[in-house]
Amino acid sequence: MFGKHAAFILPAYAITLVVAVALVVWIVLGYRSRQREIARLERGGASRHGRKADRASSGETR
Amino acid sequence: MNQDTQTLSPAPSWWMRLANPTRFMTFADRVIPWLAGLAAIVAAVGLWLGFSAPEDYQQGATVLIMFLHVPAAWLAMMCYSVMSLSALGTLVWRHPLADVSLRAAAPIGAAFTLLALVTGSLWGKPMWGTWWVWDARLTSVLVLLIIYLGLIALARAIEDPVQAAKPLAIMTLVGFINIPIIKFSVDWWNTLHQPASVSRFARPAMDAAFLYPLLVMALAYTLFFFTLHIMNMRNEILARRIRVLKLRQAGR
Amino acid sequence: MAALLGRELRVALKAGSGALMGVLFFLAVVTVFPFAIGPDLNQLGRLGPAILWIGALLASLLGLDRLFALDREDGSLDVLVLEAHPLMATVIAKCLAHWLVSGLPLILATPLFGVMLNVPPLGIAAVMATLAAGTPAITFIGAAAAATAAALPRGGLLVAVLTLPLTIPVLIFGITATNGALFDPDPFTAPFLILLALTLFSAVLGPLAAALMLRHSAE
Repeated sequence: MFGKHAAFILPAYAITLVVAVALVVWIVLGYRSRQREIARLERGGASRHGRKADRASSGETR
Repeated sequence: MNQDTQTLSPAPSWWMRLANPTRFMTFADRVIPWLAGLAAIVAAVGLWLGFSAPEDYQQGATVLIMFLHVPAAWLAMMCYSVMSLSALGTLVWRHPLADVSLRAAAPIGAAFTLLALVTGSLWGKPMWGTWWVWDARLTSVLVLLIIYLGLIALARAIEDPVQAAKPLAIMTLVGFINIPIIKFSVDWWNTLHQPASVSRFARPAMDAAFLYPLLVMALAYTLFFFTLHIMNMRNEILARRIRVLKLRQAGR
Repeated sequence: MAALLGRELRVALKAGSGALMGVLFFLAVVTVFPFAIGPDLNQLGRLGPAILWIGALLASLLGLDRLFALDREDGSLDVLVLEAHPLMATVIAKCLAHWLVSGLPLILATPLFGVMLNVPPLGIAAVMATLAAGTPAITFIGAAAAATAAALPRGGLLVAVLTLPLTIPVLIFGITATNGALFDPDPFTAPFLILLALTLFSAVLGPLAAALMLRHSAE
């Protein structure tokens, strides 16, 4: 359909889609994990497994 | 936040009402689905227009890549302008959410910049035979990427986001002021080394058949950016809340 | 202003080792290029001015973290902010002092490295002139980043990465002017004047931004 240029057009659209989806997924997952972390902290930070578990579940605080 | 209630001025503008993080969160929750939906629709229209446009006699079907590359480059610059405005918000107007806006925008802008470079490369290869050319536009976008990544690195290096706000704002504005100078120098450098040939990604007088899809895609990208931006601002506000909660608990 | 400059010179000389380290790094860069591109003297001679400029640029960038280092170490950064004379004047003096101590040695080392790269004498002179006009700009431009990032983890690299994109115009016009001096049809004056203009412009913008940074960190 695009002739010889398909080998460039398709990857261009594919990578645009991948980056767009990746951005959305990254932000949405970050949102959910931060909400979980806040809920956990507001419950009193019950986790006694130490700071490692904190950092693992909250991802970055930045 | 106190200034609203104590002065005799009329009801605070939406700008100041939005300065309250909690109010912003509710605003964000309401607005995001609409923005996202609108972005999707406009993108669909743009893609349809683009794919139904005729083939460019010079570029053939690769003009389709232009509909991805040019808006990405425009957004890369627009995002930096949003960051610069936010930087002014932090330094001059001391808007409480200005810094949140800056930090939230940076990774998104970097992503668009990267996308502009990759699609630019894919656009250039079928036409010019190489995966990369040091032409004025691609080179400027590459420098912009480095600026973005430097700012993100600075943001990550300073532990406390509130402490980081001013340095980030200042460095963003220093970059903003230098970007026209960089663009000018890169253009000069490029014409020095390619005196005879036409600028590689020169924009010929664009036929309406190509201009409309381009503008529509640019609008779609813009809507998409603001959707992501507001979503990420939510994340940034939550992250600060988490930090405060953790510090409070550690202090006990 | 002269007194200010004198004081900052003394501070910069105390922070000292930066100068020799910079020249050493410059030497390292110059040495590495022939390994990478081959020892052909003709080729090296042609590329020489560019190699010299890149070496000096990188050495300057990596030396930026010394700009406020001594003041940061003995706590006098906060004192600087509180002094009577405008903070911007202090920063300009500090940048000039830093350049005299760290940048000037690079320029003085250029003839030796230029000979190693088979650069003709006119080329060496042109590189020295353009470096003299352009390297102060690197210090000015990097001052704001040095004020904030030098104390952070990976600070030196972070300062270099933040400053490098902003110094690309200096590099472009420095090299263009050098080539203008070497090759007949190319102009020398125009790019050289633009280079000077860049330095003057950054002498205002850089210290202004750095002063803002210092004021913020002192709060």
